Amino acid sequence: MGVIRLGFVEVRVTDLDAAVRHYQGSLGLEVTGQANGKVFLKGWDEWDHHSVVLQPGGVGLVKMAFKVEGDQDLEDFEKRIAAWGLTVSRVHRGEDFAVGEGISTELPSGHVVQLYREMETLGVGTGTENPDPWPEGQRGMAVPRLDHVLVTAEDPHLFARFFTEVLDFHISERVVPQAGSDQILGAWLFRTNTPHDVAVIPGPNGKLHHFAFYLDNWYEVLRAGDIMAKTGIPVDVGPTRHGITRGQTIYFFDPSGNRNEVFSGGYITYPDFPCITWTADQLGKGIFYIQRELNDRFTTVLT
Amino acid sequence: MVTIYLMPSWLTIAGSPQATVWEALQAAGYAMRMGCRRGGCGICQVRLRAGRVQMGAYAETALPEEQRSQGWVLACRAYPVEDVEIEIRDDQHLRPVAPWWARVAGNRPSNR
Repeated sequence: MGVIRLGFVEVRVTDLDAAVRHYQGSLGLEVTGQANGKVFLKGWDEWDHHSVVLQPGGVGLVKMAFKVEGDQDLEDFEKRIAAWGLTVSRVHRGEDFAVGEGISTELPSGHVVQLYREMETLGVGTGTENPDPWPEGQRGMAVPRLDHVLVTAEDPHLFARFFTEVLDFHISERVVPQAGSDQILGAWLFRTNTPHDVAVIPGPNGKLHHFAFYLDNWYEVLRAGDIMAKTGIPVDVGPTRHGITRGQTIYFFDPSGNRNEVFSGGYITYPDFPCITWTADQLGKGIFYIQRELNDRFTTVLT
Repeated sequence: MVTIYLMPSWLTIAGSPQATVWEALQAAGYAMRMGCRRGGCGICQVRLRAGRVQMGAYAETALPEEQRSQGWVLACRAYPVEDVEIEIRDDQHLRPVAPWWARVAGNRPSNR
């Protein structure tokens, strides 16, 4: 029971048509619906109706939504969020296209977190009976699924406390000021078996750093980079490896300036995963393992 | 063709109404600190001191109306429609990255 995964991110885009061309054409997501001016998309290996929602006007994150396993979870989390001192509101079936009952809260960092139990199901691109490994008609990077979201908060420690104390997330890796400190400057948090479903680094409240899509392997990350070059997508960093998560990565930007990532690899986590600690003086290596230094965009370019 | 004068150095490069200020800088063999390059983050805000530019799509959060009215523009979204003077801050690190290459290609940045 509890949160089972990051279900969808809803993001603002300045130019909806350009955004659809990017997410559908270059990343290879499938448009699964349009309603209330928004466009809904999913990856070929996702079965729920959508994992990305594009909303016209501006940039940045409208909300991150996590799927929970049971109806009881919504009631339990409603009480636990309120007991933690935050305001919780009910999201009724149909308020979000193709999404069932849910609850929503705004964190002290200004980020909106929604929990829901049900979403309309469309099925994976390969089907579930004697499936082939990948479907026909793939486009661009052909990302199979959404992987994680990273945001900035003025108090990353408090952000991590909400996810661990209220939503039962575990911390795979954390950045502390110096050895021996328990003050969290950055945290990578999981409920699935991946290194992270959500992560936080220091920065202004309410901002999006990036959301990431999974790729199977290092070669696919390189190939995704080829597609970025062929289609004129601005690259931030990569291809390279993260020290934190061990993942292989390219950061790049959508047509509105929201940062995306293609991410592959990384280790498996379990609830008893021993938390990895990075000291702030090694952060360059933690973020970009090969270059071992942060570029001037990493902590400042946000939407 | 238009001319772009970069303050405070008076570095002078060729521009065009079809290329953003940043693209003109690149073509001239120069680089500056850039962010998303899509009008979303505001990192490349520069001051338009003279002349007019046409702005491509950008997010209000990257360039609030108040700043736009005070002459700020985004280097990644500003298309100069006539000769312009653009002020670039020290921390934006305007720097040559391939001046020799750009000269071969026919762009001739020169200091006035």
